[in-house]
Amino acid sequence: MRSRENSHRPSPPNVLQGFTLLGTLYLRRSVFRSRSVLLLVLVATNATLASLTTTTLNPDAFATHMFEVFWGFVLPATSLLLGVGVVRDELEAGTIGYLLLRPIPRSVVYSARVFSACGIAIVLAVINTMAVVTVLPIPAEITVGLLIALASAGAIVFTALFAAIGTVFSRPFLVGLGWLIGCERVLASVAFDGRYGAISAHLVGLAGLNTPTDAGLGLTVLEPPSMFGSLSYLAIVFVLALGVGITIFQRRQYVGDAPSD
Amino acid sequence: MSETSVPSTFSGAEFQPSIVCSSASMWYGKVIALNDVSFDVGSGVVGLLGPNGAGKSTLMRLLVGLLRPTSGSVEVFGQPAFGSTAVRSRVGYCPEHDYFYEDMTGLDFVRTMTRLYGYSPSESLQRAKYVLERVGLPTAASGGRKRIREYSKGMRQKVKLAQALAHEPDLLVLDEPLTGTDPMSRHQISELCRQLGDEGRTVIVSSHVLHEVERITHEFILIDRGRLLAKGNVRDIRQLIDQHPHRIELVVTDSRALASRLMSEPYVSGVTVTGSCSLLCETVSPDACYDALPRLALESGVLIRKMSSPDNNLEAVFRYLTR
Repeated sequence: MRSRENSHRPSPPNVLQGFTLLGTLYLRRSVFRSRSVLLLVLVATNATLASLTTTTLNPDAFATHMFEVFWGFVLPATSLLLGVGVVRDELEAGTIGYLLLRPIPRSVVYSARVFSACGIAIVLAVINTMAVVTVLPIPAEITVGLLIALASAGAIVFTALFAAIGTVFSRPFLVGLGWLIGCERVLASVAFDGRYGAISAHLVGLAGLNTPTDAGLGLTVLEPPSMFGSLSYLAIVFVLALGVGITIFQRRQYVGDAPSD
Repeated sequence: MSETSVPSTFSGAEFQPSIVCSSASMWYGKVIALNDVSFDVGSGVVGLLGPNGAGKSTLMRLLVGLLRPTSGSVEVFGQPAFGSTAVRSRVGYCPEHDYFYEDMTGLDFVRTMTRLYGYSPSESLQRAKYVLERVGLPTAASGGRKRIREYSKGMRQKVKLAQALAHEPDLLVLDEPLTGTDPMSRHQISELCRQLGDEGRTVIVSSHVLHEVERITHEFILIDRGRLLAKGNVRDIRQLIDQHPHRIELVVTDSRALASRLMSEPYVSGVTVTGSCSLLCETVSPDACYDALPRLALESGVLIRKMSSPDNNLEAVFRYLTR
């Protein structure tokens, strides 16, 4: 419309450049925060509880720890701390406007931050897994590689889920905590098929472990879904969470330190 | 020209609007922040004026595409402002509030923000240094290690300005850029705004302190309670309010002689003799009165020593329009 155009203006960053730039910025902003201390506390808690489990005579010590402590609490709690901050951190700092005003699509801004958070969550998942396998003897039929892969998959799905919760709700931490306790702890422990709404229950099933509560209560051990079923469930949760997060982030109007609608 | 609800004085044969705002309204829940605002703006500096809570910041956020109007449209360079990456490449925004990545240095912050426009690392650094120099932060430009959290209010204001300028935007939107700055910084920022306008960019500067903006530009948009009150230059805006008498203070050799002559003129609504050599004339048609005064003085044998108007400034205009 206007004839005056800046001939030196570069093309806006493409998707890959946008991911790289915003991912780097996210990582720089995320490493040294008070939240990092909490993440380290979770690693320490996982390792400590794993070493305490070795002193019990429980023959399912490994399965018990993985189900009740690592996959059922430490892994989702780590993702909760990371995921809800994907949008909320910038919103609370009031700096979200700087990102939204750059010529990068909002979907890229959101996705770059989610994948960067997933990256941190995977690193912590690997550290946590190594802490457990170092302390606890693992069943012969399970490999460390499988445990790392499952922990990483869980970290990715949980982080995307909590990032979406962080985008949709005004009190995302409480909602996320509700999911963690209600779904990953309570629902997952109940001996009926509804437990497979919990991500941790699928991780247990994919590892070929029995859910300890079933055996402990003398119940018939429930057959977990097939590998395809569990992987499909995890993929659906991830895609849905990412899709919802992107959609909300694109539509919502952010003003300074709060969304306007 | 778009349809406007108030008379526009920005029109001209060569006029090409950078911004076209058509019946734009913005609601926050049940609260209306902007009500059916229409105007267009070409290149140059335009002051956006209004008291606190008038809707200035909302309007600016609509212009830069941070918000989408609830109804109506806001177009920048011919495209909807909200959701267009092409528009965002050409727009710079200096927000009112002091939000930063506090642990970064000024140079690091501006460089990082410039990188997000697609510039290479070296060019981003070069641009960040140049623009920090230009806004008057040479220490930050030279790579000072001071972090933004340690900056004074004025320095923070300049960093915000620098990040908005680094990519040489065609439209620059500055929300209260002079707030909290010292006189020297005010002068620097005002001068910079004028230069940017002279370069052919569109610069929108908001303030609720009228005389500050008056130093930068003579073109204004006045809003209050979400409504556009007027747009144009001070004199033109003044003409929109003919129902309000315009006062002219005169220092003359014989105030009574000139007063009696003025009273016979149809456009003079009142004359008060304030002293033997001074009088106050009230007129509903300032232009006619200013044109006639030399002739009337001559006819009544009076010498006009000084002539001024307390109503020819923005403060008075704003007072009238918001009354």
